[in-house]
Amino acid sequence: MTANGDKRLDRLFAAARGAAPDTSRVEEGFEARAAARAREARRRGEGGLFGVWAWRLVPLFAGLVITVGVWTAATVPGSVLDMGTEMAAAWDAAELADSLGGGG
Amino acid sequence: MAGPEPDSPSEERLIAAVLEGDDGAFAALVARHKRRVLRIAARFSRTPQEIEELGQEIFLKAYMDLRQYRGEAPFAHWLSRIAVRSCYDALRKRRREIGTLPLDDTALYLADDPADDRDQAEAARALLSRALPRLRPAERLVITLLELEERTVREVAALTGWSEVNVKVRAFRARRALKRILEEADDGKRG
Repeated sequence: MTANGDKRLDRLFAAARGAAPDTSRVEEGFEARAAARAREARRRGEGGLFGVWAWRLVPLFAGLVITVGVWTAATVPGSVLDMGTEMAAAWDAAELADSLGGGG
Repeated sequence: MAGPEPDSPSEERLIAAVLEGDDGAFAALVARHKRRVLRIAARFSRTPQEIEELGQEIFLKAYMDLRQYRGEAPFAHWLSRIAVRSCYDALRKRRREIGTLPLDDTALYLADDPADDRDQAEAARALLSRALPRLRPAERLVITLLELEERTVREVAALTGWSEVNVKVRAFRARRALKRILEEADDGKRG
C-alpha cells in the first residue's frame, strides 16, 4: 500500500467530513413516533408477561421431571426392569403385527 | 445540538419518570438526544427510511434497557453505546442484502484537486457511500467512527466494547481494503 493511497484516503475522509448527514427530515416529530412505539412495546410486553415467566420456569420444570424420574427409579423396586420389559413386549407386538400384515 | 431549556427537568428526573411509565418524559428524553443518535444512524443508512427505522430501534432498545442505566456515565454516552451496537447489528443483518454498487466517476474526480469544497465534500460522500458497504461490518463501523465521526481509538473501544488493539487492527484492515477498492476502480476506468 502506497503513501499516495494513504494521502488520497485522508483527503477523501476530510472531504466527506465536510458533508455531515442531513437528518432534519427524520427529526421532525421523531420523539412522538418513538414514544408511540415505546407505548406499544410496553403494552405487548405486559401482555406477554405470562410467556416470559413460562420460559423462565422451563428449567425448574425440567429439573422437577428429572428429580421425579430419578426418585422413581431409585425407590420403586423393579420399576426400571418393568419399564424395560414393557418396552420389549411392545416391540415384539409391533414386529408380529408387521409380519402378519405382510410388511418387510 | 442545543442543550435543554434552563427550566426543563433534569435528565435524572426524566429517566425516573420514564421508569414510572410517563410517555411524555420519554418523548422529552428522545427530543434531547435525537439529533446525535440520528446522525450516528445516518452514517450507516442509505435512505431517510433506514435512518428512521434504525433511530427508532435504538431508542426502543434504550427504553427497554433503561432500568440497567446506573447513572455512572452520562446518559448520552450510554445511549451512544446502544446506538453504535445497534448500527453494527444492522450492518451485519444488511450485509447479505447489499449488492456491490459500481464506483462511478467520483473515484477519479477525487484524485484530482477540485477547487469547490462543497463539490468535493459531496463527491467524497457519494464515493464513500459506495465504497464503505464493501467493507466488513466491523471494519466499516471502526473506520466510520474514527475517520468520519472523528472519535479517538479509546472512544471507539468504549463504544464498541472491543479492545483498543482490536480497534486499531480493524482500522488498519479497513484502510487497506478501501485503498484496494479505489485502486480497482481506477484500474477499471483505465482498462
